[in-house]
Amino acid sequence: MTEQAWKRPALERTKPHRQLAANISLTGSQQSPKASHAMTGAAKGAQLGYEVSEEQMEEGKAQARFHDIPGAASDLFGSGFSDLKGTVSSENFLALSERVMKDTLLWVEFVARSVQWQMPGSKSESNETSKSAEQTAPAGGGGFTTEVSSLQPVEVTFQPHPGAESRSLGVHDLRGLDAESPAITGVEVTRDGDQWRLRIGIGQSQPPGLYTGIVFDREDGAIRGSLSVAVKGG
Amino acid sequence: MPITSDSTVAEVLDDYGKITRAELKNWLPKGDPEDYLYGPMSDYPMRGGRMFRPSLCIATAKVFGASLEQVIPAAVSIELLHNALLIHDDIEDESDERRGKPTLHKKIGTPLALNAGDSLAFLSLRPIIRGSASMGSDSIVRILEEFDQMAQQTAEGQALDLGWRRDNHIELCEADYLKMVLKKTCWLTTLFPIRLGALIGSGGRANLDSLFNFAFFLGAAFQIQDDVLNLIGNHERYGKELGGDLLEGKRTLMLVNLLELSSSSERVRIKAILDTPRDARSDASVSWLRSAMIERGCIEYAKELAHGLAGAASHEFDKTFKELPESSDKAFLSKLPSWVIERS
Repeated sequence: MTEQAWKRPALERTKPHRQLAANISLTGSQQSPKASHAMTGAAKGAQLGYEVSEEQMEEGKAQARFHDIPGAASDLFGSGFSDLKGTVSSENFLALSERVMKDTLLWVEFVARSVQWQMPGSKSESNETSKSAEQTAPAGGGGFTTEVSSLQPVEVTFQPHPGAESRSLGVHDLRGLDAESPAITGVEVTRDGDQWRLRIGIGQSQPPGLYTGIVFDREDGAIRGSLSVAVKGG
Repeated sequence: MPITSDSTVAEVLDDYGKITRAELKNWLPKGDPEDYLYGPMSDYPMRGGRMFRPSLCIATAKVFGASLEQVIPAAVSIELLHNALLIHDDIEDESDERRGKPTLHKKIGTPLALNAGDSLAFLSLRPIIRGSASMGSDSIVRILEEFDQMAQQTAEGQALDLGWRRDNHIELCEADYLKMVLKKTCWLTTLFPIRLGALIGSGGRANLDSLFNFAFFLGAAFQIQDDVLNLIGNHERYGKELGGDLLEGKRTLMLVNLLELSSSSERVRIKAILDTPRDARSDASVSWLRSAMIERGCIEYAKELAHGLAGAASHEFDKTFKELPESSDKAFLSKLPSWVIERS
């Protein structure tokens, strides 16, 4: 093996690109790979471990939601809060609080990404009461229409992933950032040819706030987009 | 000798191992067909082994408040299932040696070995179900859910390992490897024993998810060290053929790392070696792979990465177990991250 071969940069990956791992260079051009190993191996081990752990946690949550496991919104593999059931000690309360906080932070991250990926023309706003608002959002070859029934002003943001229109779609309950707010349930997804219609009903007592849910594939459980509703109250 | 906080990991493993093995013998069926089924079923469990998994379960359960008697059935179940999967793994990997002796399928043929493995797997549920009868039906359901989760994750991990080899897949990164290890190794080796121990010890009230990182990091460091020992370990102590992973074309961290550091022509050569059926793979090509891993520092790198994971496991242990009372079992668990990377 030649020194030249040693310095050859690593091939570009075709597999999932993981930002955290990519931030830690293993094959810097100024060092031999061997020297680089000694510098970064242990740190990278810990870093990779946490990264894969987080990835698994998110996959577990998505799977649990897909199978409608109770309590799945804040659980890794579907056991929900049952492990805390019937106990009111301060330790358990703290554990519960920590899990709710973690879950909320994940949602904040999710919403932040949603805003970043927002597609033009996918917003529908209703400032009139006792009326439905409709908006068509083109996506690929097909189209999406959101229909909102609400007695409160709301703003709906729907972001299908590319190709979503050709899949069999469903929408999870829309959950608020405030863990205590009731979820917006019963979002209807119907298809007529290549046209999709999402019907969302907002109750009069729905607390103001941002509610977000995942648009998923009924066949393989994969995430195909997101749906957010900002209930403005008043 | 009673276990104390000063006991070494080896001493605790020896003690809990003996207790588990003694109870395990009572669960192994005897009689006809002895030569075709019950003898082969007893083969691997009676060969010895470190008894790491049952010891982990026992210590965790005791830390969470269980008595030794309460957790022994779970420890036996874990060891039985582990041995069942070893029989299947050895067939799938075409391995020659297990615990210093010929693998079961080499001794009695693949069909009978497969059947013994199946039977051992089914048997493994019996101790834990009977042992947890006094815990109530809710606890039994939760234990079965844990069992189910572990079985699914382990099968997925094994599928990734075997599938990557069948398709000669080399476009893998370290995170892909670690995710495979999480499923293939960690669920049965550390996550399940620890979660089960906590579930039994706490009477179902522990937050099992909070144990995830400690168990995952510990198991991953354990597997990487195992892969390292497969290349450079002491054959007598290791109990399997050295370099077996290379013969089997296993996607280890060292192989993933070597592929990353190789030129395109070298990658072609490595891919061709991996594509050769095990029986046709020459000693020279395996030797070249091993030398390349040593020369490029891949083994040292894997050790470093395992050290990082062990450090993270230690950190997670301190964070998660700090509220639990000090005991010899807690001391044992705290020593495991160092032990997994120091064992030879």
